Amino acid sequence: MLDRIRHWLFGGPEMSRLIVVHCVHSIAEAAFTISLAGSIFFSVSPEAARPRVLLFLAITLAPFVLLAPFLGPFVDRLRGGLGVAIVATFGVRAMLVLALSQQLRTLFLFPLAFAVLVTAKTYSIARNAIVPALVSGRDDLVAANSRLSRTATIVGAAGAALAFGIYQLSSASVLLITAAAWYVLGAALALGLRRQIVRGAPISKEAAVELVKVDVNDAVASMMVLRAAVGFALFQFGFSLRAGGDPPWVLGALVAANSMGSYAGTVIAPWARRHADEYKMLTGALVAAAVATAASALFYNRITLVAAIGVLGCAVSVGRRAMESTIQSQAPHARTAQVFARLETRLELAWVAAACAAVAIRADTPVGMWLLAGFLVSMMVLHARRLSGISVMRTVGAAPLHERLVLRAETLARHGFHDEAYIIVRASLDAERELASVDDVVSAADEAIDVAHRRDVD
Amino acid sequence: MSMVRTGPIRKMAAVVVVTASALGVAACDTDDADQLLPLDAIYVTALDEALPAAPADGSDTDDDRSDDDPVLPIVYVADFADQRLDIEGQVMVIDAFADRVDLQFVDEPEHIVDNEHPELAPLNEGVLYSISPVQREATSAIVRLERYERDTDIVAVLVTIEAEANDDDEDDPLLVVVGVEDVEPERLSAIGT
Repeated sequence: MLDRIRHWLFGGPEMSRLIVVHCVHSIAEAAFTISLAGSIFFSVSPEAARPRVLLFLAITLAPFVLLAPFLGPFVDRLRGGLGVAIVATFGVRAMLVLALSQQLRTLFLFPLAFAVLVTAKTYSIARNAIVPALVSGRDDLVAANSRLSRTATIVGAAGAALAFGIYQLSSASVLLITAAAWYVLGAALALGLRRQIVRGAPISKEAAVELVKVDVNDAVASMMVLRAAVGFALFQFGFSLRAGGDPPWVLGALVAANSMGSYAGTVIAPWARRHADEYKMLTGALVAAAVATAASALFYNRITLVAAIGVLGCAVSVGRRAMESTIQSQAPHARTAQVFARLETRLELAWVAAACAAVAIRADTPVGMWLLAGFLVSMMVLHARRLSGISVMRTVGAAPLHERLVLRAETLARHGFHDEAYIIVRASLDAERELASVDDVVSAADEAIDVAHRRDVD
Repeated sequence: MSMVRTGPIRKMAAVVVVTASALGVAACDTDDADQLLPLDAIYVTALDEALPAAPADGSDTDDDRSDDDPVLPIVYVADFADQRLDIEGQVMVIDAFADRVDLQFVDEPEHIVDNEHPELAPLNEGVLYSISPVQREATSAIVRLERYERDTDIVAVLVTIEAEANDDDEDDPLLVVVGVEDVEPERLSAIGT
């Protein structure tokens, strides 16, 4: 019985260490988050805090914008690669929260807290990039990530309860010191990850071609939308609920609802995967998030707000599994740490950019919900349009390869993916020898791109 | 070879970074630093007249709560949008009273009072203070301070503050209250009506 529970929580030996590390991370993050309740942030007025938060969110964005192109190759060259990166993010955060424990009631709170956020995002990128290196089977990636998320959510909830107890009995400073201890423990445990992870290989040509598939692009774009929605919601409601005089438990309820929704998503996603393909899962996730937020905006009260955030958390979790499943099936060569690091960076950028927008907009809670619903509904419509393009391509599945490739390049060009259209056409040259000439293919793609340009201009 | 389309994202993010940085830096400017009567110092001087005294045991409450620490009364302070204290000023005021009250700034008084039940105390049994725009003269300032516990318990005073020479630091004059006059409440009496 114990073995079954252990396997349900931690899986096989290849993933168990990373799951344990991630559980320790969840406990430490819970302690850090709850400690902020005792910070100066909740004593200054929201309007006064807004510019400072916006400034530091922008600073948070900067490292990902500037360093993203170099991060993957650099990490891959390190001995231990992403394992070292994870150890470093734990170590840096241990020092940061220790410093923060003495600065909770000063303005140093902002740079220190956002430095913790940057390292947390870096950890998130490294952790998600590491998983493909630890699993090998065709369906293992989705299952491993589901288990990772599910176990960390359960342990994180227990960690949050523990952290709340410590906060009530002592102080936010003491809680941050315990968070530092958890980070140090996480770093120590993560040291073992270095031995498990081989140095990353350069991105292959096959992976490059696979990644520009419409399906993969659509999955990543849909996931960016959902991540952006979460970033927007966190900062929008974090500010507007405070400014509107809502009691702190409402914000706590939103965070809890998001976590519970995320957990529900890890349970729903495998079931959904058995009954539907990835497109339907992504569409379902977008539709659920859009409908829930629109309903909450229409019938706004605290209950519908909490419910909408719960559904959004669930949608993100299901969407994440769908994206991983898409990459697994459509881009098997792209299952490398470097590719995942880049994809994760895009997702984190979407999160931070949406958070910046939420802070800058200064909307109250109902208006914020309308904005969120409007964004999700718009993106849902775009997603449906992309899907219709994909389905058109499928109807000509029996056509010769070179025609299918040209058609695919044309579709990509119409959707603005001009570079990818070129790559598809050029990749076809290796596979398709019976084409009359290279010029035929290139001219077809050029024509498709010209059509798209003319349409854009019109 | 470019693996993932990051160009448009980077451009978008760069625009956000630059815009937000400009906004943030602009917001960090303090226009009171060189004035004889800085706004934050006026707030501290005026509120010092009105807020309850520190607990008798004089314990340091610098966020290190324990079972032995007193639970400090919650005080909300609302200033006016056209003369709002910046974040540095707010932190300075909060710090000045850290051993006496749990002081929290709010954007609008209505946000922490239940408009449908104005007979109740503000959120978390707190007390609400409203500070009107400060009328500054060369070496003095007048500030209207209103105190709200519930709709039947609202008081208002005009506090006159003067800057006096500081023998220890010429650049940092002492602010003292030279007059307190009872007046009719205005801003907070409108709550719930």
